Amino acid sequence: MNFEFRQRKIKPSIIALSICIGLVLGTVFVLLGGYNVLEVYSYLIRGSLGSVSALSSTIRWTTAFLLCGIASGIAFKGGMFNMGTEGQLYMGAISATLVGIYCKGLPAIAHIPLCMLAGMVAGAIWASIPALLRVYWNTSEIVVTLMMNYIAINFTSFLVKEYFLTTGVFGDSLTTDELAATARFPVFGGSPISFGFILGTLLIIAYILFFTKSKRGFEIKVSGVNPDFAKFSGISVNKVRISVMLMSGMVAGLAGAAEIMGVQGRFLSGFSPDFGTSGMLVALLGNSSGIGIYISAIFMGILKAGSLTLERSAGVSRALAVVIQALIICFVSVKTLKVFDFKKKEGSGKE
Amino acid sequence: MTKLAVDMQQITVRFGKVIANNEVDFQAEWGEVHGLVGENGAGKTTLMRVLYGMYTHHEGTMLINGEKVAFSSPKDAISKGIGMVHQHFSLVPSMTVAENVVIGRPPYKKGLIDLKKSEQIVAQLSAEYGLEIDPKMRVSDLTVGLQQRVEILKALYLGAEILIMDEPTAVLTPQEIKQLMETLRSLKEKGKCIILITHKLAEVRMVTDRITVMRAGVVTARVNTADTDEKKIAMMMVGREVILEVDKQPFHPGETVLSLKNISCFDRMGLPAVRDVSFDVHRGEVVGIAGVQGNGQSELADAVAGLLPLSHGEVFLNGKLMSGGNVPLLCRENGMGHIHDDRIHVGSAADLSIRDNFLAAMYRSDAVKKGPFLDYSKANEIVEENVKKYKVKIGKITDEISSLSGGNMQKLIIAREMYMQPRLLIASQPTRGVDIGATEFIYQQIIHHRDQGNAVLLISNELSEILALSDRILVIYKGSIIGELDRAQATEDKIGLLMAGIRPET
Amino acid sequence: MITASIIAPILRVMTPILLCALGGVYSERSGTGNITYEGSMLVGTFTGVVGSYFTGSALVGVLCAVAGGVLVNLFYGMLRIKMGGDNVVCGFAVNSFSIGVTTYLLRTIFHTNGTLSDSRIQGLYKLRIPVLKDIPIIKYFVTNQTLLVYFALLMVFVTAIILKRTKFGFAIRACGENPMAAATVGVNVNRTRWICLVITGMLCGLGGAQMALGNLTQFSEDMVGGRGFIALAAVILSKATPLGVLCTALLFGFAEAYANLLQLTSISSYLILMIPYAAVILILVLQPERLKELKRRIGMRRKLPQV
Repeated sequence: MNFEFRQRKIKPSIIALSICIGLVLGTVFVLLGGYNVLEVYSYLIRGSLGSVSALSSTIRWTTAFLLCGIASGIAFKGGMFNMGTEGQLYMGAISATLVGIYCKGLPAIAHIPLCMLAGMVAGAIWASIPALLRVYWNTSEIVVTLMMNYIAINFTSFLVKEYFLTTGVFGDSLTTDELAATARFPVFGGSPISFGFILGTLLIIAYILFFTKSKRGFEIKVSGVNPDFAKFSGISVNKVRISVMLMSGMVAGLAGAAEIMGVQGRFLSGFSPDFGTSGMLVALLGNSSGIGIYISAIFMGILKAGSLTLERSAGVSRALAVVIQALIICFVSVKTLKVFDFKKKEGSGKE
Repeated sequence: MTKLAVDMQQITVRFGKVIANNEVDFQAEWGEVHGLVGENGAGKTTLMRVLYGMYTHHEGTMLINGEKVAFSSPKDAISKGIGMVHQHFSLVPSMTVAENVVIGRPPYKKGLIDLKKSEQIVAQLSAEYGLEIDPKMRVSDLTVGLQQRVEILKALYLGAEILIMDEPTAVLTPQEIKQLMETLRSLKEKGKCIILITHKLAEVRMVTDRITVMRAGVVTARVNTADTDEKKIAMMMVGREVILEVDKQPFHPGETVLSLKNISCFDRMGLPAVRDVSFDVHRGEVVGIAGVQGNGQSELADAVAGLLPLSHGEVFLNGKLMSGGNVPLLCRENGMGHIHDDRIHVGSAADLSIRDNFLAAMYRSDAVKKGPFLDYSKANEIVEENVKKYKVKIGKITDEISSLSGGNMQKLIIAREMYMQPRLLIASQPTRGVDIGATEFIYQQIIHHRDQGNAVLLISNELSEILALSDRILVIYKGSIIGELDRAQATEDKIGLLMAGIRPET
Repeated sequence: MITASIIAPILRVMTPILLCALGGVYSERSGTGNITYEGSMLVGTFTGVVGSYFTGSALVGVLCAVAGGVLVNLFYGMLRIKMGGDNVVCGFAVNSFSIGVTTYLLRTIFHTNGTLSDSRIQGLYKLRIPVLKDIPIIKYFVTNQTLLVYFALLMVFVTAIILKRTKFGFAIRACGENPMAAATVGVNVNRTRWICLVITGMLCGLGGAQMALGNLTQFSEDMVGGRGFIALAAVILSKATPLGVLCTALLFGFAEAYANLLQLTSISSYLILMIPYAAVILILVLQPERLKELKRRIGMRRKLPQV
C-alpha cells in the first residue's frame, strides 16, 4: 500500500455537502451531550461575530489558521502531505522569540522583519529534512514530518528549560522572557484587524497570483496532480518537492513567529493548540486554492472563537469545534455519499 | 446433438449510458475452441465477464450445459465449472505457484492449509496437462508465459470445464504462443470448451473451430473457421475494408537527429530491460521498432526520453549528449516530442484540464510568456486553435482531460507533442486503444511530420502499423536489437522470425 | 546503565505499539491504506477508561476499549470503502476527529479538562506468580505485567499463521496485492477489508486498554501521543509482517523504556522524550532495502547487464 498523496480536484458541491454533514453530525454531538442546540449555536455566533472583542478573537484565530493553511496548501499543491507544520511552527516560533529577545536596540522597522525572517528560516530548515529524505531516500514524508513534530515540541521545551527560562512562574508552561517591544507587531488602536491578519491576507494574494499566473506555480500544480506526467513534461519533480516543502516550512515558521510576535509576546512551551492540524484542515477544506483557504480559515476562526466563548459561558467543551472541523474533512475527499447501495451496480470483480 | 456448453441469450449490459453488449446471443459447444473476436472495445470481455459472474447487472438468460443459471459472483460461475484466464493476471505476486493455484479451495490438514499437499496437487495437475512448472517458485519470479500457465492451472484446479481465455497471447513470444496453442488443443481433446477472446487473426486461424465476431456491442457474424479467411474476419470486425496505407514522399534521410550509443537500462522492478542498444534516427525517416510486447520497448522509449536512468551508454540528440539532472527537460529543449505508451498515467494528468494538459509540454515557450508570468489567455487561444486543427472533439478546454474518449485524448496528446515542431518524435504505441478513424488520422500526422524533414521513432506492437509507416525497421528481442531491415526488404515472415529471437543464417 | 530490569518496562511500553501494529498488519495487508491507528487507540483509551469507571470492572473496560477502536475503524471503512475517500485525507481527518471527540466527551461526561484520574477506574489485573517472581531474569517477564502483554506476543504468532496458513489469510494477501485475484476466486474484497478493519480496531482498542488501564489508570487528552503513528511506522518498516512488527515494536519499546530510565538521571527529560520519535526516523532511514537500493544505484553505473 502506498501512502502517496496526490492533489485531487474536489467539486464545490461536495465541499458544501461536507460542511452540511459536519454541522449536522456536530449537532448530533451537541444533542448527545444534552445541551440546548439553539443556545450552543447562538453562543458560537455571538462569541465570534457578536461584538468587537468577539470579532478580534475571530481574527486572532483566523490569522493563525490562515498562515498554517497557506503552509499546508503549498505542500499539498506539490503533492507533499506535510504533516509537520506544527513542528515547523514551533521551530519558527522559538527562533523568532530568541531574535526578538536578544537582538536589542534595533528599530521596529528592522527588528520585526528580522524576527519574521528568523522564523521562516528555522521553519524551512526543519522542513528540509523530510523533504530531502523523501526525494533522495524515498522515505515517506508523512511519517517523518509527524515524528519531527514531537521532536520539535520537546526540543523547544528543552531549549527553553535549559537555557532561556524566564524568572518567575507562569502557570504550567515553560516560558522565556518577553520580546523586546520593537519585535512586537504594531496594533491598530481598537480595531479588530491585526497586523498578522493583514500579513496573511497579503500572503494569500501572493499565493493566488503564484499558482494561477506563474510558471513555477504551474509546475507545482502539475507535479502535485501527477508526478509521472510532470517528469514526462520535463518538470523536475524532485525540485518541486523540495521547494514546496521549503516554502511550506517557511510559512509555517512565519505562522509561529506571528503567533509569538502578535499574540503571546513570549515563547511558551506547548503554546499551540495544534495549529498545524488546523492548518491542514483549512487547506483540505479549501482544496488548496487561495480563495478556498481564505474562506475556510475565516470559517474555522469563527468556529474556534465561538467555541471558546461557548466553553466559558455554557460549559460545552471547545473541542466541539475540532469535532465539527474533522467531520467536515472526513467527507471532502469522498467520491459518493451513497453509503447504502441497494442496487448493486458493479460486479465484485471491479475493485 | 449434445447439450451446448454455453448458451447465452439476449444479453444486454449497460455501463451508465453506454451499452457494452446489446442483445447478444452466444453459443459454444463442448470439445471446441471457440474464438470470440472483435476490435478493442467491441464488448467481448464484457460478455465473458457476464459469463464468469463478474458483472451481474445484465439482462438476458444464460444456460450452462443446458441448465439455466444466474450468477451473483464468480464463485457461482466457478462452481458451474467455468474458469477464466484474465488479460491482466489475477495472481498474488508474493505467493508461490502452489499457493496461487489452490487459493480458491485449499487442502487442509488439522484446520490449516496444507502447503505440502498443495504442491503435490500442482505437480500432479501440471503433469496431467503437460504444463510444466515448479510449484515452489514465487509468482513474482516467473516470466509472463509461466504466470499464464499458473492461471490456467488455477482454473483447472477449480474444476474448469469451460475455460475463457482473455487475449492470452498479447504478452507472449511466438514460441510461447505456439505452446499455448498446443495446450488449448489438448484441453479441447479432453472435451473441454475453450473460449478464446482475441483480435489477432492469425491465432483465430490457427486454433479455433468456430468463431463469433462482435462489433460495437453486437454480434456481427458466426462462422466455422474453415469456411472463412483472415480478410473476411477483418471485414466483419471493422465493418468495412481496412486500407491503412499511407501516401508518403520518397525516402530521403538527412542528417542524424537521434543517436543511441550502447544504451542499457533497468525496468522499474530493477531487472535489465534494455541491453546495449545502438542506432541512429535521421531527418526525414520513420524508424520502426517491432517486437512482441514486453521485450523492452516501453523502457527503450523511456530511456531515450530520459524517464528511466541509463545504466550504461549515451543518448545524443542533435549531436548533444543528453545527461545531467533533468534529462526529460533537456530532451524537450533539444526538440523532442514524445507520445507515451501509457497515456493515462504518464502522458496526461487526468485531474488537470485539457488546457493545462496541453500547456504542460509548451508552457516554457515564448509564445505564452508574459514577463515573469504565463499568458493564459494566449494559451487558451493556442489550445483552441490546435484542438480545431487536430479535430479533437471536446466540450470546453477547461474540462478535465479524463472527459475525453481514448481516441480524442490521443489526438490531443499528438497535437500537444507536435506543437513545438519536434525534430524528433517518439511515437510509442500511438494508436493503442484508438478506433480506426482516429488511427488513420494519426498515421497521416506521423507521415506528414516525417515528410517535413523530421525524425520519427515509432514503437509498436502492431506489425501492420510498423509496416505501414516505417522506412527502416529494427526488431527488439529481450531488450536487444536483434535485426535491422529496410522497408523494401521487410516482410511479415522475416520480421516475425526476428521477433521470435531467431536471426537469419547469414 | 542497562540492566536486565529494563525488560519489564520494555514489555509494558512495547505492548500498546505491538498490539496496534499487529492490527495494522491486517489493514495493511488487505490494502485499506489505513492510517487511523492513532485515533483508534486514543478512542480505545477513552472508552476503556469510561467503561471501567462506570462499571468498576476492568474487563468491561477492555471490552469498551475494543468497541471504541472498532467504531473508529468502521467509520473509516465507511469513508474509504463505501464512499471512496482518499486514504490519507480520511485517515488524517478521522485521527483529528478522535482527538476532538474524546476531549469533548471528557468534558461533557466528567466536566473536566485535561486528565481524568479517579479511584473508580479499575486497572487491569497484573500477574504476580509466587515462585516465578523470585527467579532472576524470568521474573521481569512474568511479574507485574498485564495479560495483554502475553496476548500481544501470542497474537504475533497467531497472525503469522493466519496469513500463511489459512484461507482467510490468503484472501487478505490477495486483496492487498491483487484485488482482481481475490475477486476472481470468489473472495469478496470489500467484505474481507471490512473484517480486517474490525480486527485492526479491536487490536488498537486493546492497545489503548493497555495504555490507559495497564500502564496507567487514567485518561488524558491526546494520551496516545503519537504511539499510533509509531505503530504505523512499524507496519511500514516491517512490510506488514508479524515478526517484523514484533522486532520494530521491541526497538521502539526499548527506546521508550530507555528514555524513561534516563529521565531519572540528570539529562533533560525533554531531550529524552525525543528518543522514540528520533528512533522511528532513524530506523526508517536505515532500512536494509534502502541500503540495498543505494548499492544497486551505485553499482548500476559500473556494470553492464549481461545478455
